[in-house]
Amino acid sequence: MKKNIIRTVFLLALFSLIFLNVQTVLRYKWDGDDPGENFSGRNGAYRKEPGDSVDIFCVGTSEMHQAFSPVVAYEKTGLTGYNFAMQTRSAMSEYYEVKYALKYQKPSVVICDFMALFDDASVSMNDVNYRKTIDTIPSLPIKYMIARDICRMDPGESFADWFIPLLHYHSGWSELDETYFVTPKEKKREYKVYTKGWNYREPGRFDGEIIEISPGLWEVEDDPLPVSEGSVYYYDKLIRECREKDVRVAAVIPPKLGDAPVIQSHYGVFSRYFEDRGVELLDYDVYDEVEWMGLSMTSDFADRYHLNGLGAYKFTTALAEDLKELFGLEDRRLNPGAVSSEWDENEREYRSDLFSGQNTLFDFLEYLSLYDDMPFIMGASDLGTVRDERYGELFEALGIDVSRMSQTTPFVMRDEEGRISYFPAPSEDNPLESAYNSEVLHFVTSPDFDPDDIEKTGLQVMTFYPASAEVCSYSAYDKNLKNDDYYNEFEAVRKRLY
Amino acid sequence: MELKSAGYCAFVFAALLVYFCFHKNRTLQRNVILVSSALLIVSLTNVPTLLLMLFIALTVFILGLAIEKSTVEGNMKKARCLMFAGVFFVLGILIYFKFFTFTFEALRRFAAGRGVSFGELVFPVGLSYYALSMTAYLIDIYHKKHGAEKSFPDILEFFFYFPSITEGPINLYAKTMPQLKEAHSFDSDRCVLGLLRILWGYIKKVVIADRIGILVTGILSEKENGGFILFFAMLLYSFQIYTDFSGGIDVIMGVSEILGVKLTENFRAPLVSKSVTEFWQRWHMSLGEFMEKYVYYPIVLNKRVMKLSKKVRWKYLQRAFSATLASVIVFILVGIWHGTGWNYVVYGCFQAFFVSQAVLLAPVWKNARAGLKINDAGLSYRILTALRTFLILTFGRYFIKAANLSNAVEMLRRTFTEWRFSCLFDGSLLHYGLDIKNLYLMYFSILLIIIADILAERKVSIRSWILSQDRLLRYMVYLAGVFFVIIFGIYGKGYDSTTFIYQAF
Repeated sequence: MKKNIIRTVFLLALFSLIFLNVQTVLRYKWDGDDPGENFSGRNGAYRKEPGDSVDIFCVGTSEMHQAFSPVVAYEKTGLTGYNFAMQTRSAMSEYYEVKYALKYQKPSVVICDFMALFDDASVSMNDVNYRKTIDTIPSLPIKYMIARDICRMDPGESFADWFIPLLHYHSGWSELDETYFVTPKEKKREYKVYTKGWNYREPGRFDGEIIEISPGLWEVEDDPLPVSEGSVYYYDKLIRECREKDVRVAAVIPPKLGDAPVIQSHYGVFSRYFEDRGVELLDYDVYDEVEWMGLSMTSDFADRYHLNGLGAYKFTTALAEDLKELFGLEDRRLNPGAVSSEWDENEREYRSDLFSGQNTLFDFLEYLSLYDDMPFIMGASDLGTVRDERYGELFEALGIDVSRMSQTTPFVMRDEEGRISYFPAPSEDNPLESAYNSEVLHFVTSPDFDPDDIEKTGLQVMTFYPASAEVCSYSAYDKNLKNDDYYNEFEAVRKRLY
Repeated sequence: MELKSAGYCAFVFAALLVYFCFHKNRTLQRNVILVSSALLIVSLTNVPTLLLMLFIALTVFILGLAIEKSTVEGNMKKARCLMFAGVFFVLGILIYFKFFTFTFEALRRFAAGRGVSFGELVFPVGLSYYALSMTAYLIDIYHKKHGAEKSFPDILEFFFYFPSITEGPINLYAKTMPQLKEAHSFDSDRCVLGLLRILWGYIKKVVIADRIGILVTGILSEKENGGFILFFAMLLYSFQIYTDFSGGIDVIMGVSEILGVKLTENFRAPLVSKSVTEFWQRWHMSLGEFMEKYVYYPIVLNKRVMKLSKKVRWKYLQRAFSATLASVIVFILVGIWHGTGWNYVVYGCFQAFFVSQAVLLAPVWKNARAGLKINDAGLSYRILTALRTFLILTFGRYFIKAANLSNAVEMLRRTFTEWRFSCLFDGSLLHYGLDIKNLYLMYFSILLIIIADILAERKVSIRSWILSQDRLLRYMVYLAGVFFVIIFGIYGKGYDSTTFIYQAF
């Protein structure tokens, strides 16, 4: 009898091991290529955060997922944050994301856009949303609760199908390819920690139908929809869950120009709902706020509803300042030990990535204009580019007077105090000559640019084709690499300048 | 709680666990079976239906005692009356629910519209199976083959034995009850054998039958489909119905085997049948046994029928007359047992025709084989006759697959239009719900089933072979089988879930 029990236990253990591995292969990989869709990385990094290290916890829909940048919030106000919003719209999902998050952190405030308030919460309408939530939350008790809730909402649903992923995804065997074998561990390695869950979208010129930003855009068109009982149930639970743990809640409506009249028509219902529950409502989807933030459809939006990285920068700056003031939150940088050095590293990495990720001169100049404390050297072998009227305003914003640049003074430098100086090309024996002749526009800049200790800095050279102003090369200086030419070039320039 | 659901598996596991906790106490084990049956019935139907089933069982129980008392007293006329009353009562309820439920539903809606509720009475689960068990029980008491059961809980356990309640087999009291009256202790070998059988049942149902069902449903749902593709779908349907039904039975038999109760086998490699007659000796054997004992032989041995047969002109046909008459009646009843509608009657007649002609024309066929020097024990003859039988049965299944008789005739007509064999290879089949990998898996599975039947016919027990291997290989086989079902099974969202076909009967 004892032997039979041992054999049975061994067989069950073997079965479990194989089951879990097969499940890992066949289950749908929600971890996408977009930074905010790397859930394995996000969840792994979140669990590693020291306790009580998060000020702002964000949940909500895709608009919040792309709009709120914790690293920008830290850069601008010293407030830390995490973004658990998703490319879904479901009150139940948001409630359980908060429930999970509050197991490990006690943020000062939870922000949510509450956009699902009017949505049908039934399983049939939210199948994908619920599946994404239950698959990506790394907590068995919470998965159990979600599966239980789903089966209560719709008795026809199978608990096993929701709780055990393999039973849902088993048919994936007929579609197996290499993507199925990417493990959560590999995705964790790809994860950019500084995003803190933010779904960063590359800025670029929006080429869709441009919406004119004017007060008329917010004119109410239709009657509001009734609130959904199912969604109210879960949002109320979310608010209660936070209050029980002494966490404040704020409703935040990010700018979404494509839905401006719809949001406005529901504003009355929104405000009544939040007023009844004592929740602050911060509405940024109004003309005055959009104007104040300086948002532009062409440069700040990825589409009609979602902000891109540049728009997120502006929105987060405004939101973080408002939250700080509203809830009396403190800048952690003023209190040594209140924040880990990781946040500063995150900020540097973000800015480094930001610049290396620019695809056009236009984008690059836009971002450069946000960091007025970042020094750079620009070498223009092609003056046609710098005098192109498309970039006129941007060069002006950087403080560069392009009329002062010429064949004899093709270089301009801005130091860390923002002072601009123009200087001629290096001497003949300087390798920069070759660059001078190749009709490109060089930028040398770095978030850590230290003119007194060039060996420490990570020089980043952005080179743009003059005609299309597209990036033709990017390289980061590393003295361990054979990048001597660049090093020599700019070492010569630096010595000359300083 | 479907047979293939996780809930059913959990339910069976819990029932077995509790059952074997009382391995020394027969009464408590019986009570576990009763409670489990009640839970299963309520989960599949509702409480009012459970009460109806209990009422039917109580009536049969009381009648059984009364019949026995009459036979003991020698009052056979009274015993016969009571027996017929019982049989008509049980079969009457079966006929009512099979044929007249639509009338009841219309009446119920009419009453509900006027604020009068008849409650939620639904078709009593498994009625088609235990109604025949109850009928056989009463008849056997009358014929003194066994006595009446004195314990109501015991007879309930027999009638509503939970493993077989949904799709049989049709249990006979004399064979099953003695086993139920024993206390069973846990036996690991029996448990492994039972689990292997359950696993094989799920492979047949969840992997093979339901996968074939997707293609069959897809092809048949397009009304313009005809010719070879329609016929191909019906060929596949033959495999589907076999794996579906036998798969369910394997699960039932496996559970019962673990409990220590050996039920009547329902299948004996029907794919290797060389004639329709032989097929019905290998297919749904418990129904065949019931029909044989309680319909066929009573007709054949009936004095009036024997008298009638003597009026037939040719001596040879005199011998065959009663057998033929009995076969026709049996198969019409078999057809009706499967469902209401003239298509089922025609189905029965279709089977009866082939069975009868085999009896009537037996000497003719024998002479023909001798004249053509055909060796009927040879492999080629056996393969050809098996294929012939399969094709005949496939045509017969047009009548049970179709919604009604005219639909069946229309399907047959459409079958004999343009025949394009290329539909098997030109990708046409990929438009009906299965991609290429699933199609190949389906073909592989059908091959597996054919091989399994051939091995069964040669008395090769795969389960015994597995158990005779070393532990590592056994574990690999168990795990491979389980993962075969988990990975390749047709279940969950995105599939049109099919209940067991014979559960609907």
